[in-house]
Amino acid sequence: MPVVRFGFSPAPVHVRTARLVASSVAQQAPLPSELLSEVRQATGEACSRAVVRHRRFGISDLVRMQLTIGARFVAEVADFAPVTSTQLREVGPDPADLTTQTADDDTLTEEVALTLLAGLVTDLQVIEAPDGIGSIVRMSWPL
Amino acid sequence: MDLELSTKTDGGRTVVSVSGEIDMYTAPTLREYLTELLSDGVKDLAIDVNRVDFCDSTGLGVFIGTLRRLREVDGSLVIVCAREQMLKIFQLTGLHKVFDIQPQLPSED
Repeated sequence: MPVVRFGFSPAPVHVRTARLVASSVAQQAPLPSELLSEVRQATGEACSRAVVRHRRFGISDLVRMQLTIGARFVAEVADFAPVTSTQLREVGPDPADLTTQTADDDTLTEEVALTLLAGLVTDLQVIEAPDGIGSIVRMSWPL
Repeated sequence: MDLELSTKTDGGRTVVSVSGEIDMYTAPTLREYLTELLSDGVKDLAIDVNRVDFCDSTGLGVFIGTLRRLREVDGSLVIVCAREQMLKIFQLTGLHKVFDIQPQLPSED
């Protein structure tokens, strides 16, 4: 199974590159063209979430993205920030709550990213990394 | 693509037109721009996103933060948007129920 791995320093400017890489690999898979914009948006959201999580904990390790072309196109984005059980969910908050909560910008980004991912991706999992360090956003689309 | 911002007045409303990509890299620029306008006393604001090519959760976060601050001063925010791609992300997040989204400025009716 073809696999593409991409790592980047947790800086906002590199999220843009990660989006383009994911979109390019999805195009070559080939994923149906109507799904390419979803892949671009969803991988960007997962990468933004990871960068925010690294930034919050002052972690300079690379954010890891893995793209696998098999029976489905699978995109996994891994961060290495501590997780709590409340962060391992596939549903965002109520939209009305987003406008009334007094969350800081990074928390707001993480919450909105999760809401958007839940709306964009049918097959979405937010899980703890196997070694217990960090979380993985796993998404897949049919080929 | 970089972010381009411009401001005009439409009746009593300040209109910020945004073009380019609003993402984690460019959103801080937009946030600072809007914060400055609000600090200058703008209470009735419209953000025209009809020339935005891409917007992620960070961009939506900027809109949410702006709406919060305007509500605190009894102000109002209109999102001017007719682009299908942008409308989709408002709908996917349920934020279309929170924002006043208009396809064009009232003066353009």
